[in-house]
Amino acid sequence: MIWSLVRKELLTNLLTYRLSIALVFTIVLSALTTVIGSLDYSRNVASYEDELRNQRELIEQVTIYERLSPTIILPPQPLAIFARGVVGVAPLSYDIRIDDYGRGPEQLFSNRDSGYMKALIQIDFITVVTVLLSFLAIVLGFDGICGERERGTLKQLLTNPIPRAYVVLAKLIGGIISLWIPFTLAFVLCLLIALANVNVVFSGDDWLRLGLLYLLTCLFLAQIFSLSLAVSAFARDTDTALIICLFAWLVGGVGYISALPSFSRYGHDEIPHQHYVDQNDEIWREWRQQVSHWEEQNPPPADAYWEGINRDGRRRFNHPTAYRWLERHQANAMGMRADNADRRYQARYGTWDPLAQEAYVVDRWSALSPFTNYQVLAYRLARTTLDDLFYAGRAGQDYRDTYIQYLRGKNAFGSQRWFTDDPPGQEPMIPQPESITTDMLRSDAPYMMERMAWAEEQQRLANDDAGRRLDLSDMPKFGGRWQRSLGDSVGTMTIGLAVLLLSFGAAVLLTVARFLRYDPQ
Amino acid sequence: MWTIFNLQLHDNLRSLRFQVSLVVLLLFFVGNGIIYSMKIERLVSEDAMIEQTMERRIEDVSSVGAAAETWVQILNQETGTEFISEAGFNWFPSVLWVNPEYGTNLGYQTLRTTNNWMRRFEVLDWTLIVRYVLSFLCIVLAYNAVSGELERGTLRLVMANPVPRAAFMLGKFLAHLATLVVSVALGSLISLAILALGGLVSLDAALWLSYMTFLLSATLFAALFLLLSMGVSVLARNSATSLVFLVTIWTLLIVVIPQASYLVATQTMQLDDSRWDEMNELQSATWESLQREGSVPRAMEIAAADGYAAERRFARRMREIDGQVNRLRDQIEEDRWEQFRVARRVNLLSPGYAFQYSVEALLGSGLQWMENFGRQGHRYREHLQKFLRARDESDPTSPHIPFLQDFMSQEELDPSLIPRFQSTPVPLEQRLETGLVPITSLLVETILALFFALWAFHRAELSGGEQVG
Repeated sequence: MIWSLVRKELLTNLLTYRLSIALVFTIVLSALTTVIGSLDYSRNVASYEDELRNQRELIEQVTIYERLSPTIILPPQPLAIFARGVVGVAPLSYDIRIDDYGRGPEQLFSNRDSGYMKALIQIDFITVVTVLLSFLAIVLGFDGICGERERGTLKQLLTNPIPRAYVVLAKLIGGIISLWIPFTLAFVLCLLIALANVNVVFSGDDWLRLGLLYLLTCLFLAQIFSLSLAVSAFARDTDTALIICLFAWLVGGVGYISALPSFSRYGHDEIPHQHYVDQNDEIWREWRQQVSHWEEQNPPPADAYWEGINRDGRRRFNHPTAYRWLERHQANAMGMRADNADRRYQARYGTWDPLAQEAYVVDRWSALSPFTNYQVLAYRLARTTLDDLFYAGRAGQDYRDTYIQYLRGKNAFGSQRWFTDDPPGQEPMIPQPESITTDMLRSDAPYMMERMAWAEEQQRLANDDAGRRLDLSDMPKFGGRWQRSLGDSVGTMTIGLAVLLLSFGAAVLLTVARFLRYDPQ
Repeated sequence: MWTIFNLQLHDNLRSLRFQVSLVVLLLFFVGNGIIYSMKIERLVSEDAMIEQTMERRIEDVSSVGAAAETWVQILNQETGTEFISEAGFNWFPSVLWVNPEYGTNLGYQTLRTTNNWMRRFEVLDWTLIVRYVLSFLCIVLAYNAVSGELERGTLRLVMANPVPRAAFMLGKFLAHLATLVVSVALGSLISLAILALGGLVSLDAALWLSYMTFLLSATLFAALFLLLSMGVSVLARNSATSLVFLVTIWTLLIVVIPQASYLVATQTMQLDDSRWDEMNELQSATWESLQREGSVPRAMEIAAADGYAAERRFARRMREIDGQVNRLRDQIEEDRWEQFRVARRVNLLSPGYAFQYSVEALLGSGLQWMENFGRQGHRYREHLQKFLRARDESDPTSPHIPFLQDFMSQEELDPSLIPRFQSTPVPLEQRLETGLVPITSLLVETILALFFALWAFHRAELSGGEQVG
């Protein structure tokens, strides 16, 4: 009985122009979106592989610890093709340094896009669904009940010996299924487009998430449809129902998504970026002061001890006395550098925290509008929210600790290997600095020119000497958990899902309750 | 025609959808007023802080030599019309680092607080309200302008009168346009009032000019969407079909195209880092060759012995590469601009952005605002160099080797004499030049929409009959 009614609803919906127009547009636009998203993904995979190669080369070539500074590079996520969120498809990188906590994922965007491109918004499949399919759900639902009353067909329908609950449920089911059909077509097409890209490889976990994304979207469409059917059951006439639905769509979609972030920026006391810059300058100024104070008490050897080839941040062929002095300098400064890193991070965190809170507010309050709620839920599934970015950031910080531990274990800070790769017993460029006059040190003096030629020759030999490379075979690998597990992700979705399900349920109940006592005249 | 106009005007004012539209528009504009009140206040205090640090940098300068090696910051002043059109103000670099010394150069930086994590949202300025909300309201008001009357059968009654079809259509169109434009004017005045009450904008002639620019462009844009809606309304003959068709078009033009421009631009034009490498290589190669030939700055007393020969050679070489380094630096920025221009061209496919860029161009904001700033930065650097050079010339004890700290005048320099940067807005002729393409496309699109609507009215069978759908 109910199924024949569902079939009737389905056929009526599918045969209208409105559905076919929307179907064509949805499929074209989501396909288009996925094509550019997928191309963008390929580009990012290429840049990820580039970065990875550079990193590997660096680790193979590096000869002193100071130049090591490894970078964690995380691969772009294929699910972001569909749901870009905050993270997007760009690979994340986190550079590990001693006197800094690294740029980290927190600042991820600044080093990839120019400031100009940041002014632009990026589309994804989720946006097309949120805008277009939800609109279709409204158009199918707004005259579902009052429209039939106005045309008089409702009266006819109710003269049949069918329970009213069946009629309204059939309307709901029929409408929802007719929405699922275009969505499923678009979704499958987009999946095929993505899979046609050889770079896209979904893991088992990704497939599960894609399945959940499909279910989530079906639920969202059902929610919007039942909400507009509820409006249809309560509204005076179709015109009023349409106006209510359209404006709810406009305000809840476009309005909310542009007003909420703008307002959230002013609910928090931002600390001006300049404040951090000033603090940072102050920390460096103090550092230079401390260093020069130490240098006053421990005067460095004369210039002649420092002659050598000092290029690319690496010293070679300096006098051992200079190296001894640098080692002591290093041992003294390392503690300060670590302190500085902590202080600078705190200063930076002080300016970041309010900004992060602002962005969190948007995610948190998204539940108030069905459209933004769906978007944020989808981004949580695809692991592209701010939360996921920070999750990766914490894993990066943990690795920094491990890495520093490793350097300490190697006594890297206290040895000359920090700044030079000269082997013990290396002949310096100036063997007897104490007997050198300033005249001899002039770069155009014959003595210096002769020594310089010697050093350049030695430099060539040293560059080819594989024995100078650092042995990094025991360096700890980044193996931290930097992405939420599926259970974790679903956990963060609880509130949004609850709101979605409750409003869906409430809309269905209200519609049914109203329809049972509906006057078809 | 004016009878139709009057009739429609009255219909509009009485209709629920117009009343709701008005409320929604006003809500958006009030939101804009409140947001920008807070924003401008924050901006003023932040800019004061930035300028203070900038001033401190200059005041720390003690001599001509020291000034030659000081990095000075200059700040790009806001146009004061950000509440009308943000035009990237949030994201574009705000500061230029300027160093008079040769061989180093200018660098752009963002110093105003920006929240990168909020990148996926637009800011609620007037142009956003027009682009999204007003265009949508045009559709809501006019999607059944004809199909509705067709369905209700009232069209037959109207057509029975001796009214030319064009007059009928134009009357309806003008009535819709008038109601919408008055609503927008009302809303923007409320927003302006909120800002003016907080003392955050001064209602001077320049502002009213900007206001009229905005209102005129918004009128054109609204006309475009109204005409499009009315034309579709005739052709579709069925209100629901017309609505779905219009909203899908709206989604394509207003949502999809502008949001796809980022991806298209980053695909078609990728920034290569090789210019940075080229620049670094040029600098280090020069440095190395100078080192090899022994032409590096030495201690003062050694250098004085041979009349600063090595230092002079050094300075000459640095001056030679100065132009090259600066050109490379400019090309890096130019590449970024060019990538953004590609995105702008994609955006221009959307009438929403034809409107947006028309307003931006005439207000002197957007990319031209950055380009203008870059040019001023160069001029300021030259000015600074000339000033320091002149001061150095007047000191007989100085070795006169320009822009080498230790070999310039060490005489005390009163920091208040150092020229300060004063930014100037984009000149009018340049605004018009930038606006040429977007304004023309907005006009052409509106005229096309007019012809489309007229054509639809003339060919359509308006006498009613059975319904389709």
